[in-house]
Amino acid sequence: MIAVSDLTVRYGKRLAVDRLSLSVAPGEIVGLLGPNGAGKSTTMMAIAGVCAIDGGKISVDGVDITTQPERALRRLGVADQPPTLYEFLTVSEHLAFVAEARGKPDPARADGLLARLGLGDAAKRLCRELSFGMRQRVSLAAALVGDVAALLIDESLNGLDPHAARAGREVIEAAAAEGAAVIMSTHLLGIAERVCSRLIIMEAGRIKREVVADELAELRKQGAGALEELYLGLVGASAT
Amino acid sequence: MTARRIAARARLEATRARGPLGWLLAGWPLALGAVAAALGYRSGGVAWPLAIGLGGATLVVLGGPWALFWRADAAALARLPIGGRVHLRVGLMHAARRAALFIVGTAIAAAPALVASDGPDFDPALRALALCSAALVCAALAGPSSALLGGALLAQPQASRTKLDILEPGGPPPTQLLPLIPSIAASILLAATLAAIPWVTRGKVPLWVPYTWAPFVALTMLAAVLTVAARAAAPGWYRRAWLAIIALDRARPIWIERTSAGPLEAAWGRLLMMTTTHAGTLTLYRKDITNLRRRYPAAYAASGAGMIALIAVGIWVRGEAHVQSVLLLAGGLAVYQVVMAWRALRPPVEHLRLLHMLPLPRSAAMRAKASYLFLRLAMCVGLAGVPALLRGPEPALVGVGLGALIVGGLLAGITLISRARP
Repeated sequence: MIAVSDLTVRYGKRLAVDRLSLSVAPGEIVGLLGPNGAGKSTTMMAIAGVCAIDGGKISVDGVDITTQPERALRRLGVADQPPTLYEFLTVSEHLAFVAEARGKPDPARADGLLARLGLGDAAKRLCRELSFGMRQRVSLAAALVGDVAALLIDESLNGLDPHAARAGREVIEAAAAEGAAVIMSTHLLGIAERVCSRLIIMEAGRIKREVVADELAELRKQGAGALEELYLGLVGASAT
Repeated sequence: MTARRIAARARLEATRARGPLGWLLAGWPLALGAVAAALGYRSGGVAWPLAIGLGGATLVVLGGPWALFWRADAAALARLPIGGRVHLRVGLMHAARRAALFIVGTAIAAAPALVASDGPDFDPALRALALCSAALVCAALAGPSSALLGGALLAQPQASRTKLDILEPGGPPPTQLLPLIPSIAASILLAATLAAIPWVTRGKVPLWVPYTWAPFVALTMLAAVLTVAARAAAPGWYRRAWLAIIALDRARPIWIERTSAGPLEAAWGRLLMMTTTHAGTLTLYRKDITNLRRRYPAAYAASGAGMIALIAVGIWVRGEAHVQSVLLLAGGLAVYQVVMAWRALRPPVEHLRLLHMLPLPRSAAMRAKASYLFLRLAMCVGLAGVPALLRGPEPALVGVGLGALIVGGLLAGITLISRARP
């Protein structure tokens, strides 16, 4: 469970996130959409405890991230953008480090994730040798190792080839099926439409529109392009 | 696009990247000159200025590949329609800037000898300064020029067979060949300058007679010829050389030795585990060691060489110079270990943003890095300083000095670590 209430983040005088509230239940995948600079990544980083907040409350699995960051982060996996990897560790060493830091070293799970993401052969390679798409997938795997109850995925499916994108999507869906609350920020409307159970469209640090499950199902029925039309109609003018 | 504009943009970027106190770090040759001036104040000799000048010249020549091909902005610039001659000029400007810093550093180091002496002592200091300046001018010209030659050799089609040979397991990283020609140039420059030192600084010839300046003129002419040749070849060679170097650099990761903690580091880690309540400390400590060993293998070799030098100085250097030499060398080693601790805070060894996304308390990260620094200081300064304590004429003074260096290094490192922000 991820719960955010009245989140406010400022960068100097600029208001990046303005009293944003949202909650994601276990097993739910919420897509965070919006133009560049809408505050999606700032919201994600605030939930991850990486950026200082100017107001509001954030809890992960019932634990306040600002007052008990260590406890909250044990249950939170983050795939950030660009992926932050230890370049001189091998892929499996990097995953082992992250899992150990989360207090759940489980090499078998890490190996399984790598295999599912098509990175089985890359386990012994240094992270610095990986291509862009492989780095994205390693970052996704690192977010999933350990016993995570919540996942933040910041544009991790961008730039992946079709096979890798499908593998990434399936891994995220599997995590949600196991009970993880997932927030996925993306510009890929097609993937958001297919994977997410609910969508939040942001603009200028605020929620512009929430597309609930029924509405999303209706959009799917309308066929390809329906979500795009809705999105462009909402944020098109300010996004340009 | 002119070289001047490229260099100005690079300076602007460097200034912004380093922050407000960056110019202090960038001006380390001046600080070295000031330390040397303080150390040589009583003797008033020319040994320190000569050491700084020649050391600086060697660094400037060996830095040629970095000034030309491995500069931070070289990859971005090589993708733009910029001619090889402009790239060479940018490299020359970088090298000239560094050489100018060393010339000023040498002048600072020579200042006590110039100011305090009167009559016949004045000449040697001035001549030493002139010789070092000439050597540094040569170095600024020879560094990038010889690097371009080295790069051109790597790009030769007939060299591909050799490249394939050295790509076999067990060989060195292929682009290690790039500094080969700058190394030869540095050796020639160093040998010529060393040979000229007795003649120039102790010669009976008057300072203002033209042939006194012959060594300076000869050295500068040699470097100028090399630069003219490189300038003529740059339009054809630079891009080919750069392409060969990036192609070979891509193959470099396979040469990184997959090392992890050594026995002493592992034992220290186990001890650390006994004194800490958070398991994350050991996780971080092990990760830091692995990353540092793989990313900075030369730093371990350099520290090892420094330790051997400290042991040798502690055993064999006698007289007044004993305490001074031991503390100077130990001080250099301590500073280097603090630099390593600083590196342990920066990518690729540490990603503070990632660290903040993991359930690791700040204290665990601080303790892991401080423990690493303490181990390094204890080994490089404490352990290697034992012979100086046992064999030296003033063990108490050396002991206090080494202890102060360890404590001071640790405090400086902890200050750096505690100020790190993602």
